[in-house]
Amino acid sequence: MNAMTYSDDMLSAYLDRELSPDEMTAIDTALARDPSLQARLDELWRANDAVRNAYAGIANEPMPERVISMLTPNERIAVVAPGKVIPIFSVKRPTLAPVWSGAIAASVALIAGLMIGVYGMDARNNLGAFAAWSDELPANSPLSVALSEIASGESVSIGGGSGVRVLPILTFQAEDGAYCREFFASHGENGVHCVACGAKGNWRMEIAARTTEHDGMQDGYRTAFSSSDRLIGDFIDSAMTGEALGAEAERALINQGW
Amino acid sequence: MVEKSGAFEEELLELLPRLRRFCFGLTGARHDGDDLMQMTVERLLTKRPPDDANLAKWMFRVCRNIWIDEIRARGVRRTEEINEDTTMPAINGEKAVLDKILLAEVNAAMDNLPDEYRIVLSLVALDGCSYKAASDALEIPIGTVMSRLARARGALATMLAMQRQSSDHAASAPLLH
Repeated sequence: MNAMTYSDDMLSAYLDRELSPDEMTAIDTALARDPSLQARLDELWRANDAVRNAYAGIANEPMPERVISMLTPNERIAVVAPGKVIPIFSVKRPTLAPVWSGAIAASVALIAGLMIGVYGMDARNNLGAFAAWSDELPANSPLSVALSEIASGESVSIGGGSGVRVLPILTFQAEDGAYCREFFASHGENGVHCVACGAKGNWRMEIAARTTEHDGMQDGYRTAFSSSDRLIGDFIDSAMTGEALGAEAERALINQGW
Repeated sequence: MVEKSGAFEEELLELLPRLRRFCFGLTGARHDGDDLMQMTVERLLTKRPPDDANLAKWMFRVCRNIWIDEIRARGVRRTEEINEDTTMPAINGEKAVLDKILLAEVNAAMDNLPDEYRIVLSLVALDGCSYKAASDALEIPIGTVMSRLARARGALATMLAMQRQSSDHAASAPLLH
């Protein structure tokens, strides 16, 4: 008498462990007794395994940035090269962090350093952890302190001997009542052009763009316009209500702690 | 002025690797799969599911619909050469070649499957969906999930075996002068 044969439906469900415990046990027993049943199971398993292996490799390819940027809010996007948008995440997503090199990496490291309060080589080494940034600047970070205390047009060194300089340019008020400051930051040859907003000394990075035009940091004047200026300029135009603050109004805000 | 990042976008971001693998399984080609992934994300962003919806299921369902309605219906398929430039350096050359051969073989077999079989197989074999979850996502009975899977695996087993046999014969065929 032939042993009970099981259909491909049952064998396939057995592979996926989608049968009842009784059914699973019955098939276990049948497999032990019937080599041809085991052989059929092996064929189905191998076909399934081939599919899994064939398509698994996609996990090793970097995610297309265009899709990532669709899911990250615009107000946290840092443009670190003209026309090239690199999203900044606000929560830890190391598997999706894109890979930079060269000058772009240096700009990202500078932005990272400004945001997490660590500069120079430590910021570069922390690039892998950049995905853990929040756009909220720590209240006691050197950049936060500079934004809270330094008047527009004055440049200042921050972070001890880090070599990072910050030059606030403009203060304005946004529609929601928060105050925003446009500023340049530089570290060696890397320059970034940024806007941060906040209240009461709690600053949040809104946008940061790589710029090569930061020679003006030396004497407080901006020189030629670069594409970063247009980008930041457009951002400010859309965010600002009223006029930019004059020196006295800005000084008053600094004195009262924003 | 600054909108908080939506929980919806973040959840979708977390699901992206699963969506991407599913799309790769459906299309067999990385660029086509990524295009399908992008179309799926666009659709989900413009027509958001209800707040209480299971986003993963919704995501697979929308992806499946786009693939069937817009890509398969139009007969759009790019042919992918076996030596497609992937820009990733070949660290382990031999393994990379074997991987490409495997992908080509499996794609050739998958391309011969009816679309609905390929969909169920990609969902359960690649994503590890339970039959219940697949049934919910694709809005088909669990029994249909089970039988389509079985038939897909059976057909694949046959096709892969045939491919292997024909390549064995080719290897041993005498050269023609």
